[in-house]
Amino acid sequence: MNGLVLAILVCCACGPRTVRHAPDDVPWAASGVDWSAPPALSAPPRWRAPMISLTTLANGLRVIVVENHRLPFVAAAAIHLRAGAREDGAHPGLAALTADVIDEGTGFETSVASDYASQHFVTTPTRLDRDLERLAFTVATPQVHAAVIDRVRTRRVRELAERRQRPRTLAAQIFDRVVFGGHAYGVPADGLPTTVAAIGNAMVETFARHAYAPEATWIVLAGDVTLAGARKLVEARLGTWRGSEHKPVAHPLSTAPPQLAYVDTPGASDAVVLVGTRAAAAAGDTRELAADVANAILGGGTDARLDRVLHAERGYTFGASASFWRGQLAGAWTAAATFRTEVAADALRAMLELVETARTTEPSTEELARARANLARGTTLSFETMAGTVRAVERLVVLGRPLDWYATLETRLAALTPSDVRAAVTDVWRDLSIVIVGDWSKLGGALHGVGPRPVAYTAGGIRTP
Amino acid sequence: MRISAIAACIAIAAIARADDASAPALRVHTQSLANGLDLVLAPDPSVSSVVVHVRYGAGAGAETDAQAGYTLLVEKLLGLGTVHTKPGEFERYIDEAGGWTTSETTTDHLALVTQVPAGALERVLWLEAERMAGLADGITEQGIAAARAAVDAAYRAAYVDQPYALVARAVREALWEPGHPNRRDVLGDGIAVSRATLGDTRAFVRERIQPGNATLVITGNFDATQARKLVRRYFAWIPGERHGPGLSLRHRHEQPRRPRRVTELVDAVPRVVVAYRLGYPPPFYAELVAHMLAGSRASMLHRALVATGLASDVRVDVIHHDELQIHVTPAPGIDPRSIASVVTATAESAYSRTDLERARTTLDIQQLALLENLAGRSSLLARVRSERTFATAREQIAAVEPAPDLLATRWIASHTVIARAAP
Repeated sequence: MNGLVLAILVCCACGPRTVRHAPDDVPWAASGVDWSAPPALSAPPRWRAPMISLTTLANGLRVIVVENHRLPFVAAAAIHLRAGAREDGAHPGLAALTADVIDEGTGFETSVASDYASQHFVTTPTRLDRDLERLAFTVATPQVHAAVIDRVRTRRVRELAERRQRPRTLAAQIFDRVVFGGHAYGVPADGLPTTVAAIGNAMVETFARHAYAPEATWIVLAGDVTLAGARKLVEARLGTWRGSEHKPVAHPLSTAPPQLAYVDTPGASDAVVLVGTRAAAAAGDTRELAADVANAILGGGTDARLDRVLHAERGYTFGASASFWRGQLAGAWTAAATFRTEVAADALRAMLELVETARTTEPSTEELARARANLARGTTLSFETMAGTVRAVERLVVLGRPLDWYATLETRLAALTPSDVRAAVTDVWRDLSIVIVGDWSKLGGALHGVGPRPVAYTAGGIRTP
Repeated sequence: MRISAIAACIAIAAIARADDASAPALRVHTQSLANGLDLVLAPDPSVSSVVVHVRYGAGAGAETDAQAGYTLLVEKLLGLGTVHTKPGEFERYIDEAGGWTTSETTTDHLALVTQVPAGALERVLWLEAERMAGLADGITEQGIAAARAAVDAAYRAAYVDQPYALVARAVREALWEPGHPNRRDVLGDGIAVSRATLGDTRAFVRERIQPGNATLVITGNFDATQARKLVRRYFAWIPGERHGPGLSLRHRHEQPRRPRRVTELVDAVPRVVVAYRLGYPPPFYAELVAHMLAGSRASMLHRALVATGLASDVRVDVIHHDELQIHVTPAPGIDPRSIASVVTATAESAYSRTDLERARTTLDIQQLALLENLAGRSSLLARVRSERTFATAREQIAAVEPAPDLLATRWIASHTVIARAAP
């Protein structure tokens, strides 16, 4: 008998290692859980914006610190408000080429936008001083050797030429040209292969000397660092930095009439459509926040009107969205989607109707509540990591917003009414330009009567006569 | 339900941050339920969201030939309905909560990752538990047809229509012997999945998607005691049994060095790939060498190839921690065979202390950055689970000392693929 028990036990121990239960084996009822629907959402813990502290050195350089000591980790950025692409003048790509030259081999993540250039890096508290020393080396005494310029320029020209021009990118570039005309905002910040190839070494040297200056530079540090400690380190490495006397020239924007611009891509099964207009520059006021809420309701995600109607209800597209871009001199608003060619004309008309409705009628209180929650949630997620925190502070700096912007956001959102939201976009979302990249032989006739008179552009983004 | 192990707590940061012991630590608690589910909790009150990471062990590498591609098939079935949710509902519930969800199939696991605001933690646990218990029985003929079509489309895109994965396949088959898990293609073989029946698929799901084959990691803003209660409530009742070595991924045995091989093929993009299989290197060895070779513009291969104009781009991928793949895009007009020579000469040569220290610093900071991100942290915890290994990662990085000739004496298989663009 004992032997039999032992044999059974041995058999059990050697049996299948995997569970092969039949459907009836899942004891749902015995679990004691209601499986008819998932639990309701509970209120998240109240989020408090982190303290953003500022100190200014004698040479005008500003240092911002957001302390978080959970890990021995620091994310950092140097933001240069005079080194953006709109300082390129007649040489698109000069700012980006210069930034690449002075950062050659540093390992910093360098980027150049229309209004500013930035250098990002992550480090540890013990290595921060060494990294600030490298940063000082690049901006206070920029190295612009001819051999480096030649090498970087050759590489950038090659990269720009190799960069695949996706229909969405092409549509966005043409849109910028349509709404900003010949201004630097209307040209890609990296420049074009031809313009970068034409940039001389002396131009890079001059730009590096003039564009980087302490009074136009902000250092942002987030993580395991204190304001006093950061100031001491930055002071030691950049306190003696003196910029040039050069004053940047303002480049005014001219007005541009709305257009229906298209690029003909014969045989394309999809059409990329952008609808939009020039908007006001960053202001940081209530009206701007109300416009952001209006945008969230119209095109801020999968539960917004554009996606719900054009994607979920009518199946014209896999996704539609809208967004504001705001610069220091002007801004832009766009709604974008990729439609199947055969439905693109109907889809565009539906898109324009949705914009017009949002422009002229107030949103429901439910929509307003959802948009507020989405915007607040998006903000809190920005601060989950130190790199995200630096990016969030960078947005404050480049848009000239107050440092308590995030701390007061929830209160300001709560104060907005449906009327505020409609009023903020009533004037902005009119006189829209339209950009289409698709098979014009199939689209042109179907779009008769939609938008202004069509204007053709080449696949290189050049307006045809 | 009985909890079979007592939670272990460690202070991640206390060990990691020798330079400042006064800072608060991120704590990690581990335990196992009686049904085999491994639980890892890493609360962090400084964030506003939570990440729930469910990792089912034994990925595509543990499939049999008749199951080739089944793990990916299961991944495609995840959103197509369970016993209590309709197709698409999982994502809709997460969207409604303001979160996102994704999944990943590799040779050694199937991972499901969801990030939501902290107030939605219980909802995610309900959804994942329901999926763990109810995926197999929720599979329908329509669902499996859709999933088969999705796997087939991925396979065709990789190998048939405008193939982009021919180089990867050539490398995999050259480096890893038949039967080795690392040789298995997550996309399958284009045949087995097309023959998968409802019964086959359900049986595979019951074997893999069950607590005994799962690790549940929760990171972010939550209370550990409350989370433990929720996990017990939603997961402890699910039948499960811990897998034995039958589904273990690694077939570790020493291999003799094989002759170096070269393949030439036509691909969508011209490139040169030099791949090395290393002989079970110490932790972070491959990652460190990858940074030395191509971690920055100052790295060894950038200096040898990009700065000299021979190539427009170079990168190094580390796969399975014991395989290095060096990918080079030749500059126009440059013979790819000369590129391959420069790559092997550089990767199998002496290096400077500057190269080593630069790479060590970058890798160390990269580990901290991974730890700092909730999704990255949860992925690391799901993989490591052992607190000791996790806490000593930085020490291991500091201790790695590559051979004086870098890869020359380390590799046991090396394969070069020269891909030329179709005319």
